[in-house]
Amino acid sequence: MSTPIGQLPPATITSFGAENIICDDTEIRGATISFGNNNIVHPKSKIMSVGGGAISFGNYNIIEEGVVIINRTTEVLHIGNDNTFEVGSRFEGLSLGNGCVVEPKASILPGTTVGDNCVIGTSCTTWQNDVLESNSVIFGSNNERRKQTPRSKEQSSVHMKHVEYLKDVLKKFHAQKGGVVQAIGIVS
Amino acid sequence: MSSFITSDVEPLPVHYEKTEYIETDTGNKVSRKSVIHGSQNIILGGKTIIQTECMVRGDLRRSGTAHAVVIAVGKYCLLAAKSLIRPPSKVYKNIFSYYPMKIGDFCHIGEGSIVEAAQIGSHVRIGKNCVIGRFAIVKDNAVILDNTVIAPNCIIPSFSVYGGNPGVLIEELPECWPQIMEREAKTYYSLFTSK
Repeated sequence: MSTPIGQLPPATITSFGAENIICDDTEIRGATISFGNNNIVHPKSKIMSVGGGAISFGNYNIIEEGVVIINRTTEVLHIGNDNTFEVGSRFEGLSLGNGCVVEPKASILPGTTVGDNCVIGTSCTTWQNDVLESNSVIFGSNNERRKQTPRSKEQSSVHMKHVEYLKDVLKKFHAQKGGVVQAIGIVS
Repeated sequence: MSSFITSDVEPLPVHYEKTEYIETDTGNKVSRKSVIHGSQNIILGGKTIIQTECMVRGDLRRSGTAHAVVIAVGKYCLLAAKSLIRPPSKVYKNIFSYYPMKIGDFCHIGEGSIVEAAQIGSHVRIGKNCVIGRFAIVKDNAVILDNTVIAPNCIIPSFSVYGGNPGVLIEELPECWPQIMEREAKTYYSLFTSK
């Protein structure tokens, strides 16, 4: 790592849309981290830019507790919409598409590009500098791969309902992160 | 029975800093360094230990009801360091909700495990770094080995040992397992003392 994590400055968090729920107990450090709308960041997650590049999230992402998202490069790390980072997963890749699910304890190693609608199974890892095409699934103890059918409408509506629910519940129980810059703009 | 289920070595006392743990009237020992959200929705059965950096999400509750128990833990349980207990969620009849989670008595949940099960029975030992998927049901008297991944909605039958990723039946437990686990849990609690 270029800078020790503890010495990274707190990030400038920019929120481009409405209704981002970013709990206070998260570690968001490094460069500018920007969110679209309706993102949920559970407590005890870590979003960090060790290399200096910004991290930009789309809309409707769910980042659960224990998730570590690190940008080790100097370029922007793009994360798309409707993604779910489940408990304890680790993302250090170059980019992530839309509608992906990173299951608990999964690891996406540095340099990996992940397409849309991918599932990285529980405790699975990718290779370094890997390219995961859209609709691919990594599963099992040997990190086997296969393709899946494109995302259905039911799956998207389940995800939306999850986000709406979490917006209500997390607001009641957790303090929100201060210092979030509300900007008006379009997340690319 | 395989030697990796019980150990032949006498257990040693485990000491903790007195200032680190809160001890309640019912004998629960909760670490101050653990992260417990929604503590009013969590019930501990008594003489249960929640160790350092354990995270218990009692805030993810079913909406609507005034006072709901989100996570109910039995007695003589152990939630080891860095484990995570959170209730499962699903969409039922077009409504998304989190469902309450119940853990039985004499259960040990190992370090680093993520438990999102709907129900865990009594006398269950869950190993280290396990992932118990959403809505899994672990019946009484089961053992989940270290580094196991139990798929969502799985039902783990009684007296079974599950391991691997995906978790499959490895072997069966003897009929005396409840007594073994009860003794192990009570011994652990009695040896878990402050310095």
